[in-house]
Amino acid sequence: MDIKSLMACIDILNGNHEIFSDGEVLGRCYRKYPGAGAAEIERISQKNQIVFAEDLKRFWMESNGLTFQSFGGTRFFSVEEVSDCLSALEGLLVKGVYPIAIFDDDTILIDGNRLGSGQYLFFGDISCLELFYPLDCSFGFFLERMIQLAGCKYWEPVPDAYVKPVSFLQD
Amino acid sequence: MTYIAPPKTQANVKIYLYSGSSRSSCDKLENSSLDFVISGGQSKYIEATAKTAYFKAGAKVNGNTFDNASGTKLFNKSGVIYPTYTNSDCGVTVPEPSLNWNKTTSISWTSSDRTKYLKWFEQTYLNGKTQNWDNWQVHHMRPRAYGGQNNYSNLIPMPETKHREFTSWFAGY
Repeated sequence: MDIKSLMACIDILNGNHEIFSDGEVLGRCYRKYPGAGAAEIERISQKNQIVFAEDLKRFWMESNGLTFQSFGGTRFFSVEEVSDCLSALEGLLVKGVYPIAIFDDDTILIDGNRLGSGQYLFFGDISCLELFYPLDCSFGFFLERMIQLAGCKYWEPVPDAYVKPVSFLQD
Repeated sequence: MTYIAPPKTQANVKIYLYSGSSRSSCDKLENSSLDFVISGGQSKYIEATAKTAYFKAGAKVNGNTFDNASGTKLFNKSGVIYPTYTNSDCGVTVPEPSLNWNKTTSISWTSSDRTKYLKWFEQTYLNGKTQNWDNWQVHHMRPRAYGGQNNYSNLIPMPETKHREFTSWFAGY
């Protein structure tokens, strides 16, 4: 599904209730924001010398961030927040890599140096940049999954026996 | 450490650094002292290689010793001071970390775990009143990546900007 249609779906899903396998009832709750301008996205890209994924830019132009659930803490960052996060991690995070979302203490990183490979999305605990794991999907696909799951993580527990972590800590 | 001389004075100054693995055991660092004569308004500083450790600075000014001129601070490998935070609802202050934690694979922390904890927090500290948790994170005081567990005594809600200070500090631990 393209990003514009995906973001339109949110208005239909908002307020629906889901019952999860552990009995937890989750009220679907999404908060969209006004879109960011292309010039602002480009400015932040240049300022931080990072390459944004094309579908990520389309997402920001539709909604500059996205918050899930009534218990907060799970959201896609706005383009400005990406810049703030990078400032906090200056000198630590490998150049070209940037955080785009946080889900229950797991941060989602995009490695802008690998956009061509299609394997550029990773998750992990930002306290430990040496241990990040691939999500094996594009940003658009990941966004679709997270909207379907109302922001719940689907990647735990980490199958560390066969998924090799990647280090994003600068040497 | 930077020494700024008071106005309209001239002084013989020696400044030096201490470092250690706890607040109470900081030793004077070799090659981290500087002797100089300074006039009012001027400043001089000394540096040390950053590492995760406690640091404090001392000074001797015209023969008078000030051994804890800076207070003792906990730094990481990036030279960033460990942040502080107290949650006003539960009264808990985030303690300083041990300096010998090892990196490990994080235990699971799910959306359901987070929701249950925040509901418990509301019942326990907010008289059951619902709080808007937008822009708040549940912080693991000992991070999961360093062996931290999900027991409630290891958790504390904090604003997202503050949470970012803690997590990025640990990225340079």
